[in-house]
Amino acid sequence: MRKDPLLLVQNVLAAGLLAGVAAIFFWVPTEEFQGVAQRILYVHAPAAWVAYLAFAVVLVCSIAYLRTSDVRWDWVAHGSARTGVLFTALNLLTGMLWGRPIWGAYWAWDPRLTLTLVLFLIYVGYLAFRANASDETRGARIAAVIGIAGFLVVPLVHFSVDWWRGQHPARTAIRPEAGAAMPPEMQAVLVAMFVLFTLLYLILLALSVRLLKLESDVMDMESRSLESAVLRPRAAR
Amino acid sequence: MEGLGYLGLAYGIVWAGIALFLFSVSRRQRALEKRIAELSTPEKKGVAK
Repeated sequence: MRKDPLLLVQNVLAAGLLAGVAAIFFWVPTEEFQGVAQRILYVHAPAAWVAYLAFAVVLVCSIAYLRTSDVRWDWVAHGSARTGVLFTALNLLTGMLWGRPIWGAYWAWDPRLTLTLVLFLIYVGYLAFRANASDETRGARIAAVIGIAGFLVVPLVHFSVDWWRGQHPARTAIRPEAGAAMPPEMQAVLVAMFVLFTLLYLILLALSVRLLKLESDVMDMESRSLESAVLRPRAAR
Repeated sequence: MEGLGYLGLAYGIVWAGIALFLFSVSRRQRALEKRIAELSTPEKKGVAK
């Protein structure tokens, strides 16, 4: 019996995420000013990191696809965009649920929030364009250009808290000087969640790429069966 | 403990979102595998005849 190579990684990841959530709820100390709502950070910040990573992969694979026309690069870019959109949505939603008890509002037209929403809409547009493109190859090439251009928003999102004044807290998660102020338990769990979310992204990406390959196989088989259905009567004559 | 409800909701949304993604991928994968099986069946029958 052939075992799925992803299965072991999936089981390790599931156990890691369970342990991570248990640590977030039962081990990490409660932050003095924000209270329990601060614990949202342990999924909010890793979701943002994974979204950046996913869109960086879209950028690299789209460039590679435009240079080589190898459809495998396009599958990875497309799969990564799907995963990136998921994590950007989770980042936005968890941020809103943190904002309500801390700011008293779900949403503020702050530069970080607004640019994250713009980033989300760009890649939703990328996926919508791909889903509706009539010519598969031409659609993939135009989508690659959108994927490359869309990445320009990522540094704007990341550095927006430094460049413009807004409500969003400054970068504390991965800055060593700010991280030093964080209790070691918080730092350890945050780093662990970053690693676990990265692993989760890789698994979701692998599943998405496998799905895109299957879709391509089905299209090939359908066109071959159509060709043979058209050619068979002629051969019979 | 006002933040507790929002905390629960935030974690619920994260896991539900990931579960929904996995569910939709696995459903689509099953449908495609079924289609591949359908497309390969007539060829096999043809060979058997």
